[in-house]
Amino acid sequence: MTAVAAVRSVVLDCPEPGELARFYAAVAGGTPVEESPDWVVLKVPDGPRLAFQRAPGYAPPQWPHADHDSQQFHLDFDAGGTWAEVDAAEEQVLALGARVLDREDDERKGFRVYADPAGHPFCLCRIEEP
Amino acid sequence: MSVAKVGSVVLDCPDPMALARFYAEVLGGTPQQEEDWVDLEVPGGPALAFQAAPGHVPPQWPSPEHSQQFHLDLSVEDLDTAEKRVLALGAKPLETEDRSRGWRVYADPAGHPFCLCAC
Repeated sequence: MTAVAAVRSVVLDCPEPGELARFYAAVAGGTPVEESPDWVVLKVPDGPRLAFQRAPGYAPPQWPHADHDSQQFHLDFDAGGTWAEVDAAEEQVLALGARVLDREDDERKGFRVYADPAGHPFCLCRIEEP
Repeated sequence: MSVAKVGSVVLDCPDPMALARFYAEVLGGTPQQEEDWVDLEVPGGPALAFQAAPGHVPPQWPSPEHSQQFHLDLSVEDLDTAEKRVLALGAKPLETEDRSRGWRVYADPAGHPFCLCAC
């Protein structure tokens, strides 16, 4: 049986769609396109189509949290095969306005957790074999 | 030059394999389990992953306090046909009354909103 549907976009709620789209464009590449003041699209080169949707009264998730403040979804990024590459990626995302949520035991886990400027958790992962 | 590449879109849920099977039926691919984590390589699409979140409480929709945070927009050829199939797989309608619109909103079996879009 054929699939029911294809993934069109991964949509992130946020208070300022243009601002968050610019953050992810700096991280993952691509150019944000404002389709309306409430909806900005970022086609990531060789990656998914991200969309940023204005959510009035938006409250960011808390992390780690499984209750009503849960992250629900997050993005995992391949930051390279070495910790030097992950360190370089970390320096850049922090300069872009991300903040550290969890770097503990990163060598064993193979990833570090950050919050984007709207508070969504995301991970920079060390991926030896993509 | 970009800082990183998108590896996976990860969904929190109480039962990763159950939710992975739902999305595998909708989008294609075969779920691969690794402990409390299930990967789903979607053919021609982004990699999805399903993570066990003990005590997971699903988002409410629409609600900024209990926000969805993220959702997936799924493209379909025909909304009525796709709707029948996702409902049979355990999705629930959230906002589907306006049949003239090109999109409708559902909750997946773990309660995450997703849209079917004829776009």
